[in-house]
Amino acid sequence: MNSKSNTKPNSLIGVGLRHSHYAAALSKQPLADEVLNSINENGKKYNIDFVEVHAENFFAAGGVTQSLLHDIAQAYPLSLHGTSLGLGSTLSVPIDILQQFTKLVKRTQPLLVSEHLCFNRAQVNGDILHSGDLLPIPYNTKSLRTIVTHIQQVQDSIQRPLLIENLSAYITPSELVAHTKDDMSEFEFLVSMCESAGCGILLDLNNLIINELNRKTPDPLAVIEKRLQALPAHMVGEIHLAGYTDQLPASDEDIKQTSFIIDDHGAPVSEQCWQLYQYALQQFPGTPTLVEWDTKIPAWPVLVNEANKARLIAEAVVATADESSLASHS
Amino acid sequence: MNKSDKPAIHSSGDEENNQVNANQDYQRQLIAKIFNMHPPYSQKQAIETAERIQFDASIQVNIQTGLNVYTNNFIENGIRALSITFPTVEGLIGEDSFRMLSRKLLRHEAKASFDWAEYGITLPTFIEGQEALETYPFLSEVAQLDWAIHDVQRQADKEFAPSTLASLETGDTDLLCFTAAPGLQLLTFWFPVVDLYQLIHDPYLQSEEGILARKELLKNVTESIHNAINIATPRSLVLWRAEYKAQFEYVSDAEADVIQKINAQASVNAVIDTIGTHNIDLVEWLSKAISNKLIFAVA
Repeated sequence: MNSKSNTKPNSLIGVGLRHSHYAAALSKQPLADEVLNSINENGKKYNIDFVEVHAENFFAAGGVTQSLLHDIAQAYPLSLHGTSLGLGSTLSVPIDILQQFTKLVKRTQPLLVSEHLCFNRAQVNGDILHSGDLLPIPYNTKSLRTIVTHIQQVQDSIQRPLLIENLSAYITPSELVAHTKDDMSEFEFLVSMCESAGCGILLDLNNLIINELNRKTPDPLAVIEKRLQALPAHMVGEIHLAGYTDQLPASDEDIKQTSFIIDDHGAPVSEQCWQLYQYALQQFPGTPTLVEWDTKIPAWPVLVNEANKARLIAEAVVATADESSLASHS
Repeated sequence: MNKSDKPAIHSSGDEENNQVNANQDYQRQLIAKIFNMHPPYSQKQAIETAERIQFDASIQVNIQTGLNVYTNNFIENGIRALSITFPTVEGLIGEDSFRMLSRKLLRHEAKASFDWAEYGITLPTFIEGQEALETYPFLSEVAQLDWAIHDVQRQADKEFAPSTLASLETGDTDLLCFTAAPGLQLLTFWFPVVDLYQLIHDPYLQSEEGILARKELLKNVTESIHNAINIATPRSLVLWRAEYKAQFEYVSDAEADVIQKINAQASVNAVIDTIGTHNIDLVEWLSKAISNKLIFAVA
């Protein structure tokens, strides 16, 4: 068997496309050779397979964003990543937002469509307030029923399955409201959600790492790897990779207090994340992978460099799998 | 996972009702805390919270740390969004004052829409109530212009079809109307908002070569600000979107009257009558309106 005949497809590798990179990403000029050569030992020049855009940035009825989206979609296959639907909210999905989301999906026909395992709004003292954030939900039967209903509503509207991203969370619902009990683990919840709603999982490895680091879990990667084994491979439709900024305690008082790592996507993909990615690809071969970098955004070639690293790992995993397959057949 | 171990979406009625209430309570509590509000506690929750505070201080530290992250995210996202919507306001008062103003607005005006781009319409009025900004009497009007520009730039596109103007020759001008540019509107201002906008956004005025021009403009702006309280009526400004960027310019009262008619979807005949009433040269006006893309079509 040669590398062309392996049973595992090469992963598509993409990057999150943010405003400051529009010009560079849409430029017809190729990246400078020295940049590519400095990041690629084989001297190969890799392209980005797809880019992810946040759906809400293109909800405006008209104007320059619509034209930009057209140009982006001409240049790259798209992944449309929603952040506004708040599918885990106990309130119903806002029809106007769903319509805008659906219109965008139908117009751009993206490669992937995703949202989050979260809520974002609630009715307080008679008014619906929007946090504009991705807030964690309890993992219980009622939450499951709520999110499954909402996912199905969205899928019916967009006429295709969604991928749902696991969250980085800074609060445990039962700590805030004691009678909000979890009756399953995060991964049990995700699996049940996929089985009931017919959706898939966008596995954010950085979020898993941050949650365990914030919980001060000893040997977090081993814990996560064990959990990943429980996820059926067919459910994982995309992988997100990212880095985070190291939080330095400002004072002794801060050291005493729980110092949280913030999921700021403000650094290169962390070493733990690369390590976990290699493991995850063995579990979920050929999964499209995306590198996110949303704050302290570097120059475009630096982001492309991160994507190239992901591609090298993906290719190495495929090569190893092929070798194992050859060995088992000889 | 063993199939029989899988969590099923089935539960008893009471248990499910409890979960519904608990989930709603939790979501309401977290949102309220992010917004620094106090929703009513359910009795059960009040008792349990009191017990936990008494017995487990470490949980309180965890909760507070987590809440701080979410609250900080909310504030920072809000400031970032407002600085995009109100760039001239930020430019005039500086980053630090703008952050302070934004923080105050975020505490005063709840975010009722998911989209940050829709947040901030009340800033012009809010500014009027800020004692600390009394030295910037023009700031509310500048915020109004910023908001209008932001809004116009998000409005639905229209097709520019100058060929349809041929129907002015052949069609019934009592039935035809001018199709206005996206977001065409009239605004009135007492203060020199156009000059203030230019002061912040014109790249030449920020450059070394533009120092003298900037000084001159500053002098004029200062004079106009001082004179603002003595002028009898505010100046009209027309705002529209020709391509992707908002355009705006001062117009005379006569021109403002014509634009008002177009915006009110008056017939071409009624617009032409208004032009005639004000002794405006129709051909010249029409030619300018088309070349500036103030009018997109006739339909």
